[in-house]
Amino acid sequence: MSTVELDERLRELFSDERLDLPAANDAVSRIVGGARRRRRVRAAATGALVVAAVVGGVVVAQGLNARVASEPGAPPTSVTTVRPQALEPSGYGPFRLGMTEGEASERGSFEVVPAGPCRRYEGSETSFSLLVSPEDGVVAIRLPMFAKTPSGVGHGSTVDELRGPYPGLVVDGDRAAVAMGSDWGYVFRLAQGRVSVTWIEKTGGECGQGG
Amino acid sequence: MTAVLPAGVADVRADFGEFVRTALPGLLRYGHALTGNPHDAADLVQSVLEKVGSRWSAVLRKDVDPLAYTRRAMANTHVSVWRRLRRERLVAELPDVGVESTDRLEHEPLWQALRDLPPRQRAVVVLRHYEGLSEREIADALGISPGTVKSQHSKAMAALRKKVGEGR
Repeated sequence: MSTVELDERLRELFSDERLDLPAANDAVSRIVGGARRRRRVRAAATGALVVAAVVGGVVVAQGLNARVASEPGAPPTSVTTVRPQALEPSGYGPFRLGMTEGEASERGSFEVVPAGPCRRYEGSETSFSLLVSPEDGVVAIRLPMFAKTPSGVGHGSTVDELRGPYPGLVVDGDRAAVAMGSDWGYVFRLAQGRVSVTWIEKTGGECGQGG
Repeated sequence: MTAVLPAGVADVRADFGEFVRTALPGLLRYGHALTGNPHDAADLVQSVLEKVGSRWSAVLRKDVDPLAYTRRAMANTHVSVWRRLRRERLVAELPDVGVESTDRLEHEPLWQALRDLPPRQRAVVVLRHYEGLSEREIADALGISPGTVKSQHSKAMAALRKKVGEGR
C-alpha cells in the first residue's frame, strides 16, 4: 500500500461516523461533579500541607527553645498542638506508596493480575492488595479487611466515626475520601453507611483504586 | 441553609458545565480515535475533563482555547499510560451492537492495526491525521522532539502498511 493510499484510508477512518460515541444522559453532571470533587480534595490537601508546615515549624521552634532556654533572658516561646493524624504514614506494614514494583514484591507473597495499564498484587491476607503503576510504583494500597488506620477506623466504621479523626472527610455517594498529605489520602468505600473497604491512595494516581 | 456562591464563581462553574455539554461529543470521538475503544475513551475524556474542570479558572486565565487545551491534555494523558480504572459508565450502551462487541469499528482492519500500535505512535498518528497538526505542533503537544515525532510517525506508518497489507 502506498503512502498516499494509507493517508487516504486514515482520513476516511477518522471521518467515519462509527467513531462517534453516544454520551450517557448523566455524563455532563458526572464530569462537573467529579471536577468539583477534585477541587475539594486539592483544597483539603493544601490544608494538610499547611499542617505539615506547622509541624516543621514546631520542630524548629522546639529545637530553638531547647537551645535558648538555658540562656538568661530567653524570650518565652509558644507551643502549637498538631493533630496526630497529620503524621500518619502513607503506607501499611512494610508497604509504602511510591515503592517500586521490585521493592513491593520483595516484601510479601503475591498473585499478580493485570489491572488496565497497571498490575494488582493480591496478598494472602483477606482483601489486601497493592496497585502498581509502571511509572509511579505503588499508587494504592487496599488494607486487609479488618485492618484499621492508625486512628483506629476501618471496616465497619460509620461516617461519623471517620469524621472524628478526619474532619476534612468528603463524602460522595458510596465513597468517602480525605486528603492526608500533599499527594495522598484515604479512600473509604461505604456500604449501608459503613466502611467496607479502605484504600491508601496516591492523589491523582495513575490507576485510581483499581477495584 | 442554602450556600450562596459569589456571582463570579457561579458563572465560572456554569461555564464549565456548558463547555462540557458542547465539547463532549467531539471529545468522545477524539478519545475513541486515541484509545481505540469506547470504554478507555470514556475514561480518558472523563478524567481529563474532571482535571480541567477542577482548574477551570486557571485554564481560562491561560489565554488558550480550552478545547485545544483539553485535546492536548488527552493526548498527553493517553501517552503517559494514565487510565483511571472506573466502574462508572460515561458512554451509553450502543444500541446496534451485539453482546460480544461494543466497538462498531471492531472489524475494520486499519482500526485493528491502529489499536495494536504503542500509545505514543498511535497518538502521533491521531494528532497528525485526525487533528492535522504539524510535526512541530505534535512535538509541543506531547513534549517530545520533532525528530522523535518523525521517527515515531514513520514507524507507525510502516507498521500500519504492513498489517493492513497482510490482511488483504
